[in-house]
Amino acid sequence: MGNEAPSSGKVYKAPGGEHVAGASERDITRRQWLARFFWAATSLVGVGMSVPVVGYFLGPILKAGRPTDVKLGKLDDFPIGVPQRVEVTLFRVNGWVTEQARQIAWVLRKNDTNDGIVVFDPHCTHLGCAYHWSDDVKQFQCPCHDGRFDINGCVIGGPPPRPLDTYPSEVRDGVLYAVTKPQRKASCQSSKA
Amino acid sequence: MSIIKSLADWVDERLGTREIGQALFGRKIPEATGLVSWIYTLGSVVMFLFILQAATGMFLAMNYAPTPENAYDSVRFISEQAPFGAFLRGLHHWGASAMVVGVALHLLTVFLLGAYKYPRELTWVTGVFLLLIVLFFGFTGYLLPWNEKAYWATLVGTNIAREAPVVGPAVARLLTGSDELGAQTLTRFYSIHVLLLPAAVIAFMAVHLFMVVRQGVTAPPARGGKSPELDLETQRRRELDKYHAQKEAGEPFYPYSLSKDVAAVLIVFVAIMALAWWFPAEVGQFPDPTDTNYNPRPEWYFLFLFQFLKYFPGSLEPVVAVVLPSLVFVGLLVLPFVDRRLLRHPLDRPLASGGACAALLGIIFLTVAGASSPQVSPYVPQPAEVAEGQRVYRQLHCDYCHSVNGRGGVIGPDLALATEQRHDKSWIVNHLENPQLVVSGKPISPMGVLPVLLPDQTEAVAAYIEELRGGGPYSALAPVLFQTYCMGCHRLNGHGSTFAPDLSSIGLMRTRSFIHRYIENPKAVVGSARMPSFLTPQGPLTHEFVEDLARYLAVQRGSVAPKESTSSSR
Repeated sequence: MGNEAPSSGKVYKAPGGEHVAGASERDITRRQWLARFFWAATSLVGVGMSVPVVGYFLGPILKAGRPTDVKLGKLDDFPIGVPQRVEVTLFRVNGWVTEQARQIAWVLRKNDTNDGIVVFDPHCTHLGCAYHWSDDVKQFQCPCHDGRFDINGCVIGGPPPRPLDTYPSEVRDGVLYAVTKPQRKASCQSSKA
Repeated sequence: MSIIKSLADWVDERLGTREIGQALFGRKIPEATGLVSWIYTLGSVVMFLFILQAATGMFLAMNYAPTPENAYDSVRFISEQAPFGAFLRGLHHWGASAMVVGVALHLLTVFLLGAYKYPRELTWVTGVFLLLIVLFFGFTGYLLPWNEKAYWATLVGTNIAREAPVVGPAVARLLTGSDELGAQTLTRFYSIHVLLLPAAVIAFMAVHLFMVVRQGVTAPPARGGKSPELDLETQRRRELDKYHAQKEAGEPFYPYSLSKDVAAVLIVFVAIMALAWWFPAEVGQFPDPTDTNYNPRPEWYFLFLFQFLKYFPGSLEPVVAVVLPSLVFVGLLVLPFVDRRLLRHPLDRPLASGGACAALLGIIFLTVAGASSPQVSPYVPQPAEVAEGQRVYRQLHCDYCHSVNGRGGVIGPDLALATEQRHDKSWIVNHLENPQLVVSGKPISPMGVLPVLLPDQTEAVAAYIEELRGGGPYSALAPVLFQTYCMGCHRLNGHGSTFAPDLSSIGLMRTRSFIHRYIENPKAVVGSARMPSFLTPQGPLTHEFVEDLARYLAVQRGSVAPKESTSSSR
């Protein structure tokens, strides 16, 4: 009820008809003082309630998700020069739920060293549809808006604004691991496959 | 400024805001001074509390999942991870208690000042319904955290409803939604708590407030003289004329009464914030329907009823638990129609005033008695990592294969009972990460096919398993400590005194956390404990020694059953 009080004090200049007749200066100041106190205290209560509520509501912005390390498989199982679709099952924490999630990634092994490995995020950089590798034309093709990427993830057609996102990866004891935090690339050199 | 004014003018011309504002805030309030003027703020305080409960509640609901699988974990998420979550829950928790107190005081003072009488009978009737709604809010909200406290209190609550004559079983089924407390109960309570009751409260509050504005706030009661024998109609007309004169002589609601209202609101709000900050609502433990150690207790504002029940034999229980409260409710509803005298001053109505004070004292006495009644198995919080491990264990359904104290699957070993294999924590961590490497003679464990846990989950599950097994290794000193400090009173595996309970199987009933806390300060765990504190400076042991001793005792799982429930002397 207090919050709905009129914002302008002008409507009620005086406490009441009878009082106005004999109203002294002191009476007016008491009224003003009480009105100020009312608005100050109401604001204080409002702020006290808003801070935790707004902070709680904005929680998802304030807290970022934690990336995890995922085992993708033995390095030797990935062919050289052909993007390979990998599917992994991992435990993911979503708020209060720990869920088993299946996730995919595209792994490209450019050569037989540990450095020539790219792990692509499986979503088109346009609007996030799942793309696939077409071996006939040697392109990643997105079914939604016909976005096309070459084997290095560089845009070669359609609306995608940037090259395919990648996951940081690492080889330990002959096993390929990736970190579940995609990284964006602004530009791309479309070198030979 | 002129833009704001012309905008206000525009709105006013269409909506009539100034007229409405004048009716709501410019209306006059009969002069009240001293204590009575503060009593007049109670209605506004209760209304503020409703706003507080609504505001905190609708945001808490954003991270709450009303299913038995997820409710407890989502509440724990709110309390432990969401920014301001613990504080927000604290505000809602203490706001609920304040609401019950506020509504009860409001009712009591309106009764004492005779404000329910002509022409405000309807205000009173809607107010009694609002009281009932507030109590239902309390009852349904109490279940939502789905912890042990919530589970057992609701179990008892719905069983009380079942006791009601004739309609009891049907009512209980309506509440629980099925034969037992479960998924359907939780969704029912949730939708009642967040949809049905708020709608009801708004409807009744609208009428209640409309009546307040329409009939005006009562003038403070005056002592009634020996009124001449007039008929009721004349008395009422005179009373109304007198009231209108008093009202005209009063000051407008804004800012005179309203500033006092908001001062009271500010005090109450600061108190609730302090409570929420220093005493946040507890998360508790996941309920275990097979737990026979737990002490169900209702929320404190139902304690008086809980205590009252203890004084009556079982055969009278339906009368005390259902019929009596229903009669009180009906009595309150019809009160203004039965008591039609216009005398309002409490001293002119000794019977009513005396009765109200007696009822209040009785409720206070029963509440205190209920709160101080001994608990057989008090709550000692588990370490956060152990609780997290228990959550992962439950969510990943480890109990499909493993069991704890005989509950669960039989494919893997029982995690609590297999104490002869006392592997340390690093073994458990290693086992969870590479099951096939550690189990000797079993090259591939069935666990090998499971996806790998997140690293800190492995740690947490290991901590939970370790807690189940007694909480980690103890030193060679621990048995010596026991002989030195404990055997004078306690008995273990056939040695020691029988003065205090035998501790040979204490590990089956108590966790390391509990034993540790108990040795530190028994009275803090069980109020009536006779055992002295053993922690320095009151006692001889440091934290390290207490922990050592607690771990030693937590693995005492012998077959000798203690005479009494072990560490809780009653």
